[in-house]
Amino acid sequence: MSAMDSLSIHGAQLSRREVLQAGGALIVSFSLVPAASPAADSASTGRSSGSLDAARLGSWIEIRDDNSILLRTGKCDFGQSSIYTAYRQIVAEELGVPVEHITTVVAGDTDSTPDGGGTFGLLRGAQSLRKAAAYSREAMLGLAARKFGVARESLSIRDGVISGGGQSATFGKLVVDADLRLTIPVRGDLTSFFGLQVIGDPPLKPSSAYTIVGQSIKNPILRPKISGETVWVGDVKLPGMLHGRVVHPATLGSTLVSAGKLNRPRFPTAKVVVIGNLVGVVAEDEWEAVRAAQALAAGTKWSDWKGLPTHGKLPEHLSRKVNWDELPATKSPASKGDAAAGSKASRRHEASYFFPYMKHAPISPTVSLADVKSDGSVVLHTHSQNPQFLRRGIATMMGKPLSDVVVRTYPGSGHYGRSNGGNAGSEDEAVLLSRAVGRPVRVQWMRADDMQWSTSSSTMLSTIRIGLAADGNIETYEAEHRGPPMQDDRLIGAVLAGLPDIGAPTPGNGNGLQRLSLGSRTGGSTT
Amino acid sequence: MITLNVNGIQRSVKASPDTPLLYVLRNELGVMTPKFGCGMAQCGACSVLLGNQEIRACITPISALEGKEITTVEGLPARWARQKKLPPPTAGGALHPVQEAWIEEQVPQCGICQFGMMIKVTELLEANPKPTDADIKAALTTSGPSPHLCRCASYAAILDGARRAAELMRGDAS
Repeated sequence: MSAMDSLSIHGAQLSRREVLQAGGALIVSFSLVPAASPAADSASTGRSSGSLDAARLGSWIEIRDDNSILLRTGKCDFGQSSIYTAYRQIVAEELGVPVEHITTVVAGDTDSTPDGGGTFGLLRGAQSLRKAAAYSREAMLGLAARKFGVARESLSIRDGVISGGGQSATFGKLVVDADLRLTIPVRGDLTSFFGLQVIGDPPLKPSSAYTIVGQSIKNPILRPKISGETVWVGDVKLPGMLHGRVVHPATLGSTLVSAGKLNRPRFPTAKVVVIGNLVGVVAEDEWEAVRAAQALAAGTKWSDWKGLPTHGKLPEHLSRKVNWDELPATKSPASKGDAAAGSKASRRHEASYFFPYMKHAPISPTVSLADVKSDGSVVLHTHSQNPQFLRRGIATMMGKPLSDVVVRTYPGSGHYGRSNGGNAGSEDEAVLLSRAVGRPVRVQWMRADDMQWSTSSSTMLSTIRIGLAADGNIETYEAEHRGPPMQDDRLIGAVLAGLPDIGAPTPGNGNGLQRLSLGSRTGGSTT
Repeated sequence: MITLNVNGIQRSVKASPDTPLLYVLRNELGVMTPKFGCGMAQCGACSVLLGNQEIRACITPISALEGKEITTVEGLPARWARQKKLPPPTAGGALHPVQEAWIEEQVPQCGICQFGMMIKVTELLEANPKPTDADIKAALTTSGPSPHLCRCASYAAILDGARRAAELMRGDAS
């Protein structure tokens, strides 16, 4: 290997694999850096996993010799389209190319994206790609310096062209006929709640120099949506698939006494599947499946269970059942002044506000398609804010290695945070029904399934203290939010079927959002 | 066997007569813009035009639709071309003005309700080319079996889209 074939870029490694006869690209992949301390990643296994080929599919950014650029992100689109607008802007800005050069965004699919983690918080989620882009830009500058025979410092980038020493070249020109691999450092666990993050300190463009971030650009995915070309998850058809519906228990704690029977002449193709307390039906025709599920529900008997308080008694019930100090309170970052010592304030306002459990209620209840092969491997087609974490949940339920599960994502109804933890309902049930009948199964939740059985946002108690100065302006402000660990991302079908699940969220197990620091944590004073 | 007229084409369907139009469009005819939202005519995600009137495909059995003209968002460009005596639309070409307005105003967020919104606004603007904001709001809330719901709450953008669509359809667009 000549010196030309390997170049250190701020801790990343640029190498040339082989000289190509035609084409060429710079492909950004990663190498895994073990977590600095076990405590920092207590919930993770500290390793990447199975199905991803880090050299090929695991790449974040591909710069092609026609100047087009491809991004890959494990994040998905839930209506803000940040991955198609802001992500492209952020990467274009760091690279120094026009945003139009970023022609392709590969998103969400667990077998073709590198990072995982939940789709929440643009500024957090985009940092990895921003750093990957910064490493890439430095690599391009390094390539240009060698090609031009000039010092790196004498080069500048403008609109995807690197110039210096009287020479210039486009990004595409610099990667032509080469198969370049930039390996960058990452940390984390691909299928954990937060996935992998790019680490290290490549030089980042100062925001004062931004020309792309902050501009308004059109969302490129709207025209195909509006024209009807976009394939939504509910539009996917798998060869040989059956339509499934699930009959959920009468109450949260009911167990199955006996499943109903179907009248064969009325439901010629319907087949009932019972796994523990999971009752489902599949049929060749969707309307037959809908009607069969109604008939099945009418004949299915569940045990009585009265474990829930009525709505009006919820606050009192929770005050006894929930340890409100199990997690430290989240203090609003807008807090100012010492509200407790606000006696100087001329007027004070202090109140506590109780939030009940809230439904996210997407307008279209979730729908998933699963194809469980005869060897037990799974391809799951769905719409999820955290497909890698969902993949982990499915593998856990099936008792299979992660490499046996692939999750593919499609556009779908907005989830409003509901599938931060991967599932939104129907995914695992589609898998279990497919495994039971040996064919691909599409499970569409109905409106009642969604309202009764979907993940809820957790309850919360917020205490607000405000001190007003004599002139009426706010002098001190303090807001504290406390609640049980949220949100419960166990797969409903796995729980009903009595199969292994990822566990309810606790302060220790890393499930749910309680580990996401929304503001500074306080030790938790109470009112 | 029932024959349906969907987007100007006669289609024979095998589904049983009690099957709601939505399942027949999506599973048998490959017409995918009407979406499943509630199955109870309470959200508008499945709306289609029956002649000049919006209906909810999720509760309308195909037995009620024999020989009637059904238009979905896929059929809006051709519907506009017929009304304006324009050449038939081509793939990748101009869409119906309501669709073009929806893109110009960047109306959708997740977008799954917007097919029903555009159907409803098409119904309105064909009957009332110069609606007031109150007319648009009434069309999308009190005129049908239920309000058209958008859980992303893009309602202000929908209002912008409807105003812009009215301009485009009247031909007085700037």
